Parts: sequence; C-alpha cells; structure tokens
Amino acid sequence: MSKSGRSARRTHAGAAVGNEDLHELLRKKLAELNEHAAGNSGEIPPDQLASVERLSRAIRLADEVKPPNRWPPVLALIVALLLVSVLILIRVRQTEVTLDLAVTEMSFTLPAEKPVIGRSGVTQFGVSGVEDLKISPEIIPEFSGVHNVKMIRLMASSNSISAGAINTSALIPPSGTKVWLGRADMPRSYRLSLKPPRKDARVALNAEAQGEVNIAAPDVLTRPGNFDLGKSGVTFSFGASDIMDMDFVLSGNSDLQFYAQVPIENLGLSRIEEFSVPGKSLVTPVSTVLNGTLHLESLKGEKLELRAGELIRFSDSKGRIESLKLEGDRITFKFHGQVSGMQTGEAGASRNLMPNLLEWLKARQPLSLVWGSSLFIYALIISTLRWYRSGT
Amino acid sequence: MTNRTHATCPCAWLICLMGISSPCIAANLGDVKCDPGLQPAGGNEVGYALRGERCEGLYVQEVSGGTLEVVSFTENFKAYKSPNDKPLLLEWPALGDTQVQVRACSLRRKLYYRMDTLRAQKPPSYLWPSDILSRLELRRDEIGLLAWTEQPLATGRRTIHLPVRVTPQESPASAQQNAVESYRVVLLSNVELQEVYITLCPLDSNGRPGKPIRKSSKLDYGFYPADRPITLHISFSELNGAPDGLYSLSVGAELKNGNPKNAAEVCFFHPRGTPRRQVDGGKP
Repeated sequence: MSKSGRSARRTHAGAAVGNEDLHELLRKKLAELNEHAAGNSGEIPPDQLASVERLSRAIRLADEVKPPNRWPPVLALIVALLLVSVLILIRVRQTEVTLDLAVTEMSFTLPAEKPVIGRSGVTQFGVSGVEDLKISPEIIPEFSGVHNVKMIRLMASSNSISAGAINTSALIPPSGTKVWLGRADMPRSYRLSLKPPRKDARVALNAEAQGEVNIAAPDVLTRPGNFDLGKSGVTFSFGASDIMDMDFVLSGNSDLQFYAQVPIENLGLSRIEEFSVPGKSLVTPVSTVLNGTLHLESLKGEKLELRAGELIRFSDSKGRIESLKLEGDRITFKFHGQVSGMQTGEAGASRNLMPNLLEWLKARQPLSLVWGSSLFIYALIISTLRWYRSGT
Repeated sequence: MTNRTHATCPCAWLICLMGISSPCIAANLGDVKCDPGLQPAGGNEVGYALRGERCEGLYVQEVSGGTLEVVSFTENFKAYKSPNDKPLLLEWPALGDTQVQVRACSLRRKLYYRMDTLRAQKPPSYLWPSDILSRLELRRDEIGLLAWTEQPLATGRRTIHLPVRVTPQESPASAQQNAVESYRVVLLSNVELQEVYITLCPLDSNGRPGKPIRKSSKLDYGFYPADRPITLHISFSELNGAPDGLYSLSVGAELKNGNPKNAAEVCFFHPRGTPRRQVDGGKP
C-alpha cells in the first residue's frame, strides 16, 4: 500500500474519532444549556446558544466529509458476478432437439408396443438367434418336426420361370425392445437386431415367401437348397426371447417401410471398437455419424453441423423418430425429442452441448435478459464510479 | 496394432503368445493379470475382475469391424445340462512344460464375458468355479473355450492350441459317454460371410505343413451371419500323418462383397492314440 493511501486512511480514522468527540461535546453543551434554562425560567444566554449552534454546524460539516462505506458496492459487484457465473456455468438438465442425421448404425429402445416397420420386399432375408420357427403350411419336409433351427436364410431365386419373392410382415415388437439398425457391406444390405426387454417377452416377425426360394439352415440342411414354395407361398414365423438378428437385402423397387412418428428412447449413435495390443485391449467408442445437423429447439432452433465421425452421445433421450430411410450406404433419419447429458467428442476431451442458463434465458426470455443485463451494467458503472470517488 | 473386431473373445493374449516373447505366459502360476483394457461391467458381482486364480466377468464392450477368429477349440460333446454352481472340469492334453493359458468367452450376442487363467502343464486340468456362469445363465454351448501354450518348433516358438474337454465335476462318467470322437471348432466373424474355407494339414517335426487333409474345403452352410458362432467339426479319424501330433488349421472366408478374409492360423495338438486323457490324474 502507498504512503499516501496509509496517510489518507489515518486521516479518515482521525476524522471519525474527532467527530465522536464533537458529538460528545455537543451533547454536554446541550445538557448544560438545558440545566441553565431550567434554572433561569427558560432563559438561554445568546452567546451560549450561538456557541452550540456553531458546534452543531461544525458536526454537520464534519459528517459531510466522512468517507463513504466501500463495502456495499463491492458486495453488490461480487453478487452480480456470481449470478452471471451461475447463469453461464449451470446447464439446463434437459433440452429439446431435432436431429437430422445420416449414420451407418443406430440403436434405440421402443417404449411402447407400436408398429415400427411395415411390409417390405426383400431379396434375401436371414434370421439368426431364432428360438421358434414355424412354417405354415408345412410343405418343406426337411423342417417337419425340427425344433432346433437357430438360423435360416431365405433368398429369392431370380429364375425367370419361377422367380421367388420374399416380403416381411409388419414388425410390432413388445414395449421395451432394444433395436439396433445398421448397414452391411453390400448395397441395400442391412441388419436389424431386436432384443426383448425381459426373458418372458418375445420378439416375433413373419416373412412370406413365394415361388422358388433358396433356403440355407445349417442346423437342418446339410447344404443350401432350392425349394419351390408355390404361388400361394409359405409363411415363416420367427420368434426369440433373446437377441434376434435379421440380415436383409432390400429388393430393387422396395424401401424399408419405417413408420413415421415412432416413439423411441435411449438413442445411440456410436459403436465401440477394440484394438488389441499384447497384454491388453484398447476400447474406443466410434461415431456412426456420417453427417447431419443438430437443432437446439430450446435455443430457437440454433443449428449445429455434425461432421463425419463426430461423436455425439446422450445420457438420456426420449422422443420420436419422425422419419427413417435406408439409402444405399447410409441410414438417414429425423429425431425430435428431449435429451439430457448431450456431449460431443471422446471422454476426457468432450464438449457439453447442453445449453447453459444464460443461453436458455437469452432464447426464452430476451426482454428479461435485456432488462437484467442493463440493470447489471448500470449498477456496475455506478459502483465503479463510487469506488473511484471514494478513493480520491 | 491389430484391429480387433469381435466382441466376445479378444485375442490380445493370443497375439502376445504368437509373438516372439511372451510376458503373459512367463508369469508364475497364479500370477494372472487381468486385461487392463477391459472395463468391468455389471458391478462387483459379475464385473471382469481377479477372482482367485482367474480373471472373470463381464466387461463393457461392443465391437465392430471385420475380424474372423477361432474362439473355441474343444472336444466335441453331446449337449448336456450343466448343474448350477458346480465347478466344471477343464482338461487338455499335456504338452511340454510351459504354462497353459486358458480362456473362456461368451458366444451369446452382446454379452461381453471373459475368463482368463494361467495354469501349469501338470496337472493338465483346471477346476473352473461356475458361480459367474450360473449368474449369467450361460449355457455350455454359449461358451467358447481355448487353451494354448508355447512350444519350440524348428527354429522358433509357436503357439500350440490344446483342445479342451469340459465336464461337470461330479459326473465325469456321463461326460465320457457324451464325448464324440471329434473336435468342435467355433469361429466368429463381425461381418456376414459368403463362404468359409478350411485347410487342415499335419505338421512335421520342423513345423512344416505336410499333405493337406482338407484343402480349402468349403463349409457350404449357406448362411454365416455376423456375430453368430460358426461351428465346424474335425473328426479324430481324419487326423493322421503328424509325427508329433501337431496339425495346422487355416480358416479363410469370402465376405459378402467378395473380398477375402483370413483367420490367424491355429496350430493344435492331437495326441496320437486313444484314450487321450490318461495324463497325471485329472484334478488340479
């Protein structure tokens, strides 16, 4: 601290003590004056009254030059800064987003029993993890009375005389079913996996096949064979109480009929890859995002472009898949819903994408924020000025 | 670095053993090192952790890519119901003095389970507590089992797989009855395959392959979905011509897009003459 500062403080301290003395002296003089007046029928000598008046004026003058208290403005500034910091640092727990993405894989949970996929035409349809297989009518003798079929693949024959056709029926999994959907290596090839929520729940799907169909079932047939299923066709019913995988190739003129507005939860847009080095395995989450946009609806639809391979994850998500299409080498979909714990980047270098309270207020209560920030800046200026004046 | 793509049976230690030196196998018996890269899952009860002489449990993982690998090499067996909470007796043919790495993994989809233990060659067996298996309700056919050791062969050392026999502890007799005179090899691939080809050769004393028993013979199953076990059998009767009982199994595959894919060659020991298991008693 400088010398002048110390002397100023001493001066202020001395002035405060002097003021107290003057107050004491004034009280004494007033008391004497009262006594004198009481003993002399209320008569007060003019000189004594003038003396008291001069003393009173001196005290008022001394009070005027008393240094102001510095702490209230400082405290106000600290409180204001804390408030702003809280608004910046604290993020909303949940926010509304729209995702418009192209991915290679995705996963989600179905919270309700609703139709997910409609009837779709496929050229190949392989199912693995099967626990129940029913073929109706039972026109394939090799499968009669067989109960241990774990996997089967149907492939429509392109034979021009008796060309085969395969159609999957509507898929209505039980509520709580976990779904994985990903592309395979070949064009128009995909894998759909379903896991029922409990052991006592089952996932089931039917496929209808007509004409000549090549069937491979390693548990039943020694080698794949062609079967003529006739024009009326055969229905294959698959059921499982654990994960059932469906590998399919969409026929040239067919799309996967994913219903619009399918409610989902726990959207996942990454997979994990493992690299092995001697003595240990390195496990890394890998984004399945090819490109797309994230719209933060609670921030008036603020747009955030997601690049290929950008890892985005949520601790929780709940909403609807508004549309989903399988497009050659990618899956494009639109999700709208509430998410929490939204982050990009790998663990350790991740960025929190949840809006902070300030951003939220800015988007939701712009007028309040303008008023609040104006008051804050005004208070800041006043405080600074008072601080400056008090120091001079 | 090898890009591994299958979830259920990581081959870090296999690669370690296939390398020039093997710190893993050089460890003392009981000095089992859990794979530090595996993040335990499912809490303390079933998470991957050191449990006595073994590391066992679930880990957090979901892996993708294009690996094709052998995840189980056991004696064939007829299906039997394994009693809950009773240990399983694992046995393998004795070979040399080097320690044996035993690994079990889950063949069930998206269940990331592994057991690692390091055993002495004598006795060539391990009594495997089945408490974790029971908790996870893993059936016998949902478990892949490998045992391997390292042996000098010609100029270098090679990893030799030892086919494992699994029997419930209290009913070895029934296991003998259930035994089938063949080996059961399980493959896993993370991508769908178009076809799988097998080449099986005896190895001479110098480790050189002899006349193939099977040469690029295709399995012809017609459907090889990703992440699902592909089982093949090797009959004891077709295994001959190896002076030291060593054979080489090579697995090649054609992907759906026509590209080739190969699994690492597996060298395995088939003791000549039967019965095979008359070695040093049975129990550890």
